[in-house]
Amino acid sequence: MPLEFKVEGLDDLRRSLSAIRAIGGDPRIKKIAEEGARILYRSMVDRAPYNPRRTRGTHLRDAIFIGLGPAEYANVLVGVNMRKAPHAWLVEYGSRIWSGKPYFRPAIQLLGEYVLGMIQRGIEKLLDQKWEGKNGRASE
Amino acid sequence: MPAEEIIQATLTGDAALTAIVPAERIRLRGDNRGIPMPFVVHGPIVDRYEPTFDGVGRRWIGVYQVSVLAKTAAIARAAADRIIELLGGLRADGVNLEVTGRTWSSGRDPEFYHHVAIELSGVG
Repeated sequence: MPLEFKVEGLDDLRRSLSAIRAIGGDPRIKKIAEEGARILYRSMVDRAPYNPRRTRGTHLRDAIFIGLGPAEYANVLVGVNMRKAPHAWLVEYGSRIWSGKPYFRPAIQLLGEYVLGMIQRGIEKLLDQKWEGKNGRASE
Repeated sequence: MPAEEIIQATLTGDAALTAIVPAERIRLRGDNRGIPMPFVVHGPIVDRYEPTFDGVGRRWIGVYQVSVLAKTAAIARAAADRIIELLGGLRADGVNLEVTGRTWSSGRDPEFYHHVAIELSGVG
């Protein structure tokens, strides 16, 4: 007995995949990721202990950075420059004489999901714009 | 009972661990000066209270750090392994924690030490 299958939505799927491909090199993705990175960066800087009387070396908060990397890659990096602040590890994890004052993990734990959601919503918005454009509707 | 108290009781009540680290050297996070090695300090790094449907609320612990500091790597490793055995999958009196990480470092401040930081997360 012959069986017939009818698959619906293939055109939509094709357009969605084409929209994903189209935003691949979009510089706006990097911008969205950078906005998320700024939130984490600000939180880490605010949590990092600061001694205004310190006259030597680099303040830990000044060693925290956002690395944007090459424009064609849609990723950013939030980190600590260990050359500038080799004590960063001891502040985060503690040492022989004190238990530390964590600044990195709290920012990631408390804001990570929010930032991921923000990036996800931003990318979804871009995809919607591309998808609508491919359907002949208004596109930004 | 909060996680700190349950962890303190669990660690100080274990004969195998206290044979390596005396019970009086197992403490909450703070100033470590004056504590002879090996010692263990523990406490929450990230936590917050979340509302629940029954209105009671619960404490979410993003990171709970248990630090082992010892002069030799062998002692640090033995104590850390025992702590992971004791606290891995800890479920007691509203506390539910899982081991999520373990990092190893060493330094000199002023004497040489090994530091194993065990991370847990869960509810407590």
